[in-house]
Amino acid sequence: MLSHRSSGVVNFAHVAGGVYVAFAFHEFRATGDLVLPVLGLPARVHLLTRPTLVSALLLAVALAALLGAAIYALVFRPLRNRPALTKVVASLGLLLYLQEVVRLRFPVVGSGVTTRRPVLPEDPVRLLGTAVSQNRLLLAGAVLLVTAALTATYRYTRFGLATRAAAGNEKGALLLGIAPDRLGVANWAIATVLAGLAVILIEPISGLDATTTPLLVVPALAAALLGRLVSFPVAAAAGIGIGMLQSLILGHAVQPEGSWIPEWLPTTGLQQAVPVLLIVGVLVWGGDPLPERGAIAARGLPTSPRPAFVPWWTLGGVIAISAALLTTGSAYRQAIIVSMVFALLALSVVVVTGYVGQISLAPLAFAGVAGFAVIHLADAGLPFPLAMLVAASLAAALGVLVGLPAMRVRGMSLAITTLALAVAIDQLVLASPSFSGGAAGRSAPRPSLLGLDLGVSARGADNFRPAFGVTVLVVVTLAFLAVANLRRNPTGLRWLAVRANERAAEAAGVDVGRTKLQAFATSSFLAGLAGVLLAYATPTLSPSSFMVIGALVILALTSLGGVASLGGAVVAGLLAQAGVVTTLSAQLPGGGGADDYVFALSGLALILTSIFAPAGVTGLLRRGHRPVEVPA
Amino acid sequence: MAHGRLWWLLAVVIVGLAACSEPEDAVGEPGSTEPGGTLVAGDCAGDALLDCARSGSIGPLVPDEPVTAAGEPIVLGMVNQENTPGGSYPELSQATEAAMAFVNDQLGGIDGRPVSLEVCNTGFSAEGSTACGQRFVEQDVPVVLGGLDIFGGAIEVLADNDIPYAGGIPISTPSAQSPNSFQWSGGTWGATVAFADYASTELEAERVSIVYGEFGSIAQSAEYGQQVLEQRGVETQLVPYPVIATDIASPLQAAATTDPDAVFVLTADTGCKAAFDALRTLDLTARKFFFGACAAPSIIDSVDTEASDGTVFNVEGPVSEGAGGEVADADVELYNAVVERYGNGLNPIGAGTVSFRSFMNLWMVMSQLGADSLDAAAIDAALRAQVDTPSFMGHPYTCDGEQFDGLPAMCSPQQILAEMEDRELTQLGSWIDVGRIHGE
Repeated sequence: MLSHRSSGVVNFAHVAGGVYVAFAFHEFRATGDLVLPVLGLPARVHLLTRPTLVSALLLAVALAALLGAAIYALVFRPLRNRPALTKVVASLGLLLYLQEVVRLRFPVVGSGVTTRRPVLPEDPVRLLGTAVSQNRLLLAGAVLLVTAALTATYRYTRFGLATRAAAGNEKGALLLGIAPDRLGVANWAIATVLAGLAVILIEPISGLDATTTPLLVVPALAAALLGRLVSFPVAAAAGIGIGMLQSLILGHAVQPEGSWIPEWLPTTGLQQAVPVLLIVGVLVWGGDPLPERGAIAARGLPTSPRPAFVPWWTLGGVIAISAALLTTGSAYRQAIIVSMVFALLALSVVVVTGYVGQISLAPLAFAGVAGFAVIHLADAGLPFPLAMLVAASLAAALGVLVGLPAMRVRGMSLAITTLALAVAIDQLVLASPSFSGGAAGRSAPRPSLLGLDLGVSARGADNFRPAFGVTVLVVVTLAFLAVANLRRNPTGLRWLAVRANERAAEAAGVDVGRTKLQAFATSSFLAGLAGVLLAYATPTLSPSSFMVIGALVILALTSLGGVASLGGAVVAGLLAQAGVVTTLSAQLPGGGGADDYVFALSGLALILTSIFAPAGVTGLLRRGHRPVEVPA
Repeated sequence: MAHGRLWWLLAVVIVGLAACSEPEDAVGEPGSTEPGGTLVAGDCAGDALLDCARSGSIGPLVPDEPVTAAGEPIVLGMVNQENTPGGSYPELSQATEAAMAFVNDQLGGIDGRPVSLEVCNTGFSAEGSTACGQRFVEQDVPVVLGGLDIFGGAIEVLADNDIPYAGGIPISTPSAQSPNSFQWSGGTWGATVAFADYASTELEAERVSIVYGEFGSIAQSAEYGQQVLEQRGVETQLVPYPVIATDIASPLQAAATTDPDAVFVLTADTGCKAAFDALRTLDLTARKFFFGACAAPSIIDSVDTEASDGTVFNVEGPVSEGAGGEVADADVELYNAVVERYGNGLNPIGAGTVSFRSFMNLWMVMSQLGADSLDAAAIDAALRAQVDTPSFMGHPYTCDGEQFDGLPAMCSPQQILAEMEDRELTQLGSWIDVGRIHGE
């Protein structure tokens, strides 16, 4: 919330920063070494021979403050006037970078766990007849104290009032002599210090891991959202309330009294989804159909070029891909198929996010639902391609449901809302063994049309059959042509109008709500098609292929390619894991993604793209010889 | 899905490792003295390496003098997950490479020809896994070794082409169930059934709670444990919790409400300490069962003795010197020595033990076949024909597909349980035949 106040950013890398600080704290406490987070610089500097708890905590605070200030100055200050999407993508790049820094700088090989000494006492105490660990009570006390301190600071101190003023009107604040940049640095430093201390303190309770701990940002965001990213007390109460509600649901579900819950409904799904759905309900109920009067339209939206030379691009693409499918080996055929399917998934992002400006993090969930649905439909005897179309239509219907909050919620809040809904779909639907087969997954029957086998698998080098590749090519080509056509006709113009300024669009006669829902339906239908193709392309479709966090990666890849252009979707598909680029790079000496720094560099690339080329790779290509504009 | 950066699966991946790790005090830092009569590299360092090898399970295949392999290498494949933010397990390929270097340097490879390994990184994605399988199909390798692959797509591609997939960490469903998969570990399934057997027979428990991370093989394992317990008339409560749990105390509290006689905690090793602490706070009198990796010194040292005392862990090898006989002792000794000499700094403690074992077992089978007979069909048939064959650092194995009901890939799922007391493990009885128990 602090970082959002000062720069309008919901930082998905917030906890990841805390994780780095916590690792550095434990490392310093154990060895006296300061571990630096900048790859390329020396990994560590020895500072003290006999570090103490106090010196380690002081170092952690200083390190966190510097990290927060650096992140603001280098990443988010240049982006402060950019659209929410650009900031989301930058934070995803930062998340990837920080995770990799921890992996590379604190090499705990595989299953290794290092000994960490706790900061808070852990002995149990009796409270109302129940044993509670002291660290939990102290932690709860710390939360209340910090909440009170933050509330007082931002309500009564000059610094707090200045921050709120700058958040409300930066230009006005400047005229009053307030320096928003200095406020930003201070707020980001405080935010990162709090994240670092929080991760250090909860480590004995929830563990510390470079991979899973950063994801605690999801429930944290839910609580912050309930506080409307403004109210500290509400956010703190929401966080505690969510935890209590989850415990109550679990406690009830596993007792005999919970036997009314049907078996197909996963217990943990209920535990995670019910609070999420409540939050979404509250948000939608309190939202506004249109932005407030005077709300500033986002600047620097990525350009959305009108598709040109569509027949020629189509013809060239179809000929080139067909030729590649017919002439290359199975490994490349697989790479081409993977790239095409992911280009389709990225196309769904282009429609809803690039064209209409609605940040949706649910397309992967739609793909998952359609992927398993088509298996059920095919098993029930529905033939291809009818089963595919029905499954994708189901995804479209779900898309409309998920899109409903977009009628009243927008920007960062919508991003978090769709992420929360995607969690609900993942945990309640995709995790249901009766729908997805659970851990074992499900296998789709081979598709066929008029007696022609269109299945993917064959023995040996014939696997990833060209017939399946051509089927995917046909579906993807039709999808791209349909979207190109929509973009070129009045529908596309309405989409862009809504993206640019909802109030203006409404004034011009555009039904904003209907336009958004139309985009959500179109986007989720495309994602559903991609899910169906994945089901046909994979020997066994597993729910783990559709975990929510993957949606962030797809959004990031699409942004890297160019979120508002068809070409961006193509680039995203090419860049997908096991797609054309990674397969080709695996053939290079030392390639294959085995390089230690490849993901860290990917994170940096996302950050740099957000700052210097918000229209992505395709935007850079279109810009051609014009110099790169450095943000102020 | 091709998003190779699905971060949050790591916890589950680690659980898989957790259930497969060797007893932590049986392997140790080279040259060091470990508690519990640990065998260390110093006992068979230098030229004595072959003497050690001769006393172990590979004894009959050890030459009188070191023989260095030469000529055209026999290329094997390996599927593993490395260098990804979703978890990186290079120790699995490093341990395999250490074993391979020893075999090539001193045991003459296979019929004098060296063995070489091509490691394919799944990138932590289903498509990456499938691509790995297809790559090895095109390369026409005779067998692919397992590392860690949560998706298992490679195994399915290899199965379609009758190429055997051997060893590694069995964490995906195909690794445990595919007809071309051969595993020398019981995975989480074996561990949980062993817990259920001990709780129902030795503890005569009437109520058991199984607390587990709701994902993949862990959820399946909880059900396996539940089946055994309920068949024996034990009231069983399943308490799942999300993989990203902020506080494991909540599900443990839910588990405690039924006043169970035993609690199985199926958690990733990153969650072990929190679970120990929470159980201590709850002051449960129930007997605690944890995966073997939770017995790692780094974890046990960070919790109160009171919290870990009495906890039962699963292991897949004898806990201390003499417990498994001379052959087992010699295998552990050889392992430590080889890792020290050929491991390039690899820590001997950890999941590398499983991939090391896998390679040595496979090498024994391939050596008996001979270099000229090495093709996929021959290796597949040879593995299938193994009956009570000595396994390196493990229980003798039989790959007839009937060792573990519902998990035909398991050749030696047997488990040993050990109890922690004053930070020392003590073996509880001998091998538990979990496959037979689950099939009852």
